[in-house]
Amino acid sequence: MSSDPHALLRELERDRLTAVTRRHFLRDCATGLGALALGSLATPAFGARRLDFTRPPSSPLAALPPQFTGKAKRVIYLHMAGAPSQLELFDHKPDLKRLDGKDCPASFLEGKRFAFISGVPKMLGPQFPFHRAGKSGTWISDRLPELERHIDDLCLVKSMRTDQFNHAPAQLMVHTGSPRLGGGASLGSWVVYGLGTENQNLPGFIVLVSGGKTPDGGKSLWGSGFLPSVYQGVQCRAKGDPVLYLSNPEGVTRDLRRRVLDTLDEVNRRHHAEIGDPEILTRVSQYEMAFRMQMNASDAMDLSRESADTHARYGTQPGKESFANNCLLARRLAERGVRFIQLYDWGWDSHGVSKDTALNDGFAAKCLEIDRPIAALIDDLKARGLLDETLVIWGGEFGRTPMRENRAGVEMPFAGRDHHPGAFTVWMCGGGVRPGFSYGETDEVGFEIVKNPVELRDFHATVIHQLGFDHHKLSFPFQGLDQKMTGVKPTRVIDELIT
Amino acid sequence: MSRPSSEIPSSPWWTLVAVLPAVLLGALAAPWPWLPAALGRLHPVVLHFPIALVLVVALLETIAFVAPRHGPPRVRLLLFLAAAGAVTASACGYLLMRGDAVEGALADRHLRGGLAVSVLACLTLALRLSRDFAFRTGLRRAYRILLAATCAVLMFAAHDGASLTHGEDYLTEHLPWRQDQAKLPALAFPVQQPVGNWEMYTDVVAPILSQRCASCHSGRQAKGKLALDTWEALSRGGTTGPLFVAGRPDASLLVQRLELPLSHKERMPPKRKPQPAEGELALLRAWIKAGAPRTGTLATLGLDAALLRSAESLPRAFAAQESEPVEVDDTAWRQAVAARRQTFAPALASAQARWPGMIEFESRDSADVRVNASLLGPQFGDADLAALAPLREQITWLDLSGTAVTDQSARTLGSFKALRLLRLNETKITDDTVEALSGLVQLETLSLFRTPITDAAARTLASLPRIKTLSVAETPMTETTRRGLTRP
Repeated sequence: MSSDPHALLRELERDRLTAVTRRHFLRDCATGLGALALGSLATPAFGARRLDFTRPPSSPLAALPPQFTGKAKRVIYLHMAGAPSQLELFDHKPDLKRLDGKDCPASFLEGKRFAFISGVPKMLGPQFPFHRAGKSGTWISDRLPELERHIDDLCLVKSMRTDQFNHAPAQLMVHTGSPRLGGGASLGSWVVYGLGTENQNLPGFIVLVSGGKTPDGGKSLWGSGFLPSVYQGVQCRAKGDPVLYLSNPEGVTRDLRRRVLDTLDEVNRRHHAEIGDPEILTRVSQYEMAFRMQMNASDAMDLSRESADTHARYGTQPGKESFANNCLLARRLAERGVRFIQLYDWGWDSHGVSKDTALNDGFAAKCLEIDRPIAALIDDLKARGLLDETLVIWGGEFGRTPMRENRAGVEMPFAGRDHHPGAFTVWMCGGGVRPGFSYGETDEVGFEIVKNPVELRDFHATVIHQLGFDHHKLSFPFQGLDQKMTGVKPTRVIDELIT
Repeated sequence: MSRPSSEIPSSPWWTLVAVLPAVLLGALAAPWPWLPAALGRLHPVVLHFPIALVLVVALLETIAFVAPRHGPPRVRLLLFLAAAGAVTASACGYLLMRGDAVEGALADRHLRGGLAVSVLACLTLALRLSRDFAFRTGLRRAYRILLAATCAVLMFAAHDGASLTHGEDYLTEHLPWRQDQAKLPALAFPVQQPVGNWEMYTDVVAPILSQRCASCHSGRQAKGKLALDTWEALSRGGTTGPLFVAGRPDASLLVQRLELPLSHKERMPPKRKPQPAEGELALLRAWIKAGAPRTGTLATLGLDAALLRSAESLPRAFAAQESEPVEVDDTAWRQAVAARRQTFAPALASAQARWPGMIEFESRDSADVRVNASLLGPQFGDADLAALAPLREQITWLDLSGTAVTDQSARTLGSFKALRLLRLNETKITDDTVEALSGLVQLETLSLFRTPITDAAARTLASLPRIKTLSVAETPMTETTRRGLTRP
């Protein structure tokens, strides 16, 4: 026997091959075929029917009908990055006011982890007065007087919870259903994968960012995960070119661009015929989309076409990056058939370390910034008869503690609250949700949920249901599994939130 | 050949088999009333031993029968333990039925089955212990037959017991071919009728009770001597008394038990069982408040809109109860949709070819058609709309916002009788077109934002029978008329 390992391996392989006889071959063929046949026969009996999401390769964003007729046709998602305090806006806790300044009871602290609170913190009462509003008598603080006009259209969920207490993973959890970077496809990309988009000249999933900073979760928040990347969100800017590098460089005419693209397409398609990677087709369709967007996006994103009255109602200033501008853009995009419009507004992380993050300073200013535009957006959707089929969602990535933050055990100069994954408030409006309704309850101080907890996956399933899909059926085969937004844990569509 | 000596003298064995149940049943005569109930709770502790032991004995005997070269198996001790276990389990079971007030046909059958197993197991043991066992073929044959009979009866009795604890469809619940049958009976709601016409007891209360309670409280299985599946049994109540005081929900046991916190031991349904939604509870309260009548519709009992909505959502809520997807056999329905689609397929195909991406089915389960011409803007005009007329029976959703359609399309639009949604935002249409819409009886949503319509359109708009959402903002219509039209 040779000591050369390669010779040894060859010898082993030869031994193995001589050990396999014709009988083995016949047996394996017969049983293998039998197993394959059984598998295909058994699929209709045991396997669930899969929905077909295939489209012509040249138009991966083509609109597809939903599984059943959903009340909502599109989504406008307003995410307040940093997590706004539910205790200053929607979750009315009179008992917390009485406990203001008292030591936090030990029972709240046992077994809990906080981002910054240490030792025994003091309780912090609500910083703003609450009152009942509308015919529904919904509790709301005095910080959102304009939104209050629509209080009887809102459906509040006061018992949302998550298992992440840091911004990036919690935001990923809200938007992809998984706290890991690149762990899953975002809600918007799932929706566009399922329904496509009506307007082939604009992306189906558009992301608008304000507040001076991209949210901590980064671009994975609108990533497509394992879905083909054509379904990922496209970030547009309110200032300058709506999409970077969309305009032709100086000296390049539209004709020339067309010819360049035609040649490039030809090369790409040949390459695809050779190796069959679907991502090549994604690239081709994105070039084409960009070409069409050169005409359409600038029109959709041009706020100067709106009347002075509209600008006054939204508080918009064309050419500036602001949440108000993004709200107006969201309305313009919704009118143009964009399926999923995602807004992020940064600056809600009210720890109380500085004036900007103080509840009674920076937080109040942020409320002022969002109040008018959101109310105007709902007004406009109503006036156009679009609210019924547009699901507007407002929320953050987690809640805030009823205790005052005491970073490193020291009282801080401004009133602030720490991150709190145990309970937070999200509201929805339009899109077939139950108007003038509050769901779920927290305890006397707003720390733990005592009634009707809603997991993020329940929330996702409910949104997907409103768009016309059973969340089990909106699936994508990947790595041998039928992947879905809601994963494998028990999930329920919250029927109570739906009309 | 010497006789095999019995390794244990037989008399103490029998003493034990006889004494155990006697002691247990004797507890009924004991001065402590809690004792029988407490001993009854041992039933689930004991019962699995005889089941396993009888089956093991049967297995060993089968092996010996098939492969006799190993000699006769030593099963006497096992068989004794099985018989003793069986009588103990039966005695405990009897105490449990008395103590926890379990009754019903299924429970009775389980008791009889348990007793039969005990008797058969003792007979089998007697044969096996008989001194002549090794010499008489007849005895051995009788022993085998008895052992087989014990096994058979045991299976039935054990299955009945499991059905009592876990519910009758526990074993077969997840089998693929059981899914449809198991779900359908609960869904017999009169969905084709308006919810106001539903019978309060038959169509609302009874389905809620059957969905939430009947797995433990029914004629076949009545825990706490309470059955909720018939009107008579419901009005009789259970061991704790009558279920409701007509007109006083708060004083009614049914409501009290349902509203206890989940952790409370008297809470019904117990935790880990599916819980009724708030709306269901409100409906039960409303029914008792109305005097818990057997007949009367939701409308005649004067239920408010929120309750009507809860009632209306029951069929869907019950169907969606399972977190796992439920495959319902809807083949017939799919075929009907496909046949409907077929009737207008050529017209649809040519329209779709003319305007790619503008025309779609409402959903995969529907033959209704959605048309969104707003994306074409001014490129879409009266002539184009007229070209869609062959599809007027199918189009239920039509968005013409920002298009070039004018009053010339009034008659065409008026003939789209299937429309549920019509959007004409920012078009040139006037009151004339609105007047032509008066025959659109299905219309639920109509948007006329920024159109030149005036107060003259108000009468037609107010006469549309099904309208829910009407948008007339930024039109020449006066504020008062507008408010009169759009009030909820």
